[in-house]
Amino acid sequence: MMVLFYFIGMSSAALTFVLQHKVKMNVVLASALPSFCLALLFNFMEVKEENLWLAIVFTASFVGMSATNFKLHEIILGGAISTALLLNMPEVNRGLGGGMGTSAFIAVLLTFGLRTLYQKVVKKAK
Amino acid sequence: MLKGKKFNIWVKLLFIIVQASFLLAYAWKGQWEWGVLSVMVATTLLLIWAYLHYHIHDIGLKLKPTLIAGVSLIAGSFITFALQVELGLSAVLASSAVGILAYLVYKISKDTNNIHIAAYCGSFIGMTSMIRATDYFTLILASVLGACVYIFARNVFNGVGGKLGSIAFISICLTLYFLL
Repeated sequence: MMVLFYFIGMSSAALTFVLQHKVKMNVVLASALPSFCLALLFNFMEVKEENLWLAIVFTASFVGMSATNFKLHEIILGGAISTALLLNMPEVNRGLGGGMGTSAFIAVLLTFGLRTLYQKVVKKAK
Repeated sequence: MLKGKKFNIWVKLLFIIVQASFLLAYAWKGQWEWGVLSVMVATTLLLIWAYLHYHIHDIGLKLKPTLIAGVSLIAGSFITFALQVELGLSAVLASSAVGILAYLVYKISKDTNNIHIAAYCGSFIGMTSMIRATDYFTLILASVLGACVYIFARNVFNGVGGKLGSIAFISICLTLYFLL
């Protein structure tokens, strides 16, 4: 189940990123549309832990809202980090608006931090 | 009046403080869990490292500090919260619906103030659960604060996914923990 959560998170981030930059969809629409379709679908059918699925997809879609400063593989990694942050969200952070966005923001910045760290290490090794 | 780089540093500092506390909450489960705490401190340090090295030219969406953008943010927040409370929609369905609606308004009205981005940011504030924000007053207060943070944060981290959500989180935290 956990693997599926992470897979969905990474796919959702990638989907929003591709819709935004390859299909040239507006950034807000690229984030809102996949989550809206899924939420609408879940509204009419019984799904176990539907709120968790939706939260994962929606959070990862924020990661995908990043500009082309980021590469697709970084966005996929960001999707995985945001999913990890969401799955382990402490009680004190739950129910607060923007919690998902903050997870996504942290995930994207961590990805960026890892990239710069990696580049520095490679540069030093050379 | 703070201007330019100095001003942006204060906004970044606000982001760092809120996000560091967001991360540190992961290690608090009635008492400190030292293993998780050390991971979260390391994560926070990596985050600060990223903040210090984030000098990429902003090529992402541009936030516009206009009155109509502020009003859109408040409206987005209000509508999302109302959809949750009055119609019983899930937070994700309500927020994404507001996002799509805001985009349609932006497209039809040929708006130049990026009102859809502001409204989408507001919808994240409106995702706050009824347990946290018990009335519309709390939400409106958070939205007004959110509009201020939105305007102040217009020049930082454009193009980083989750920025709008962070603005929402900052405003709702400031409202619930400091203003009320």
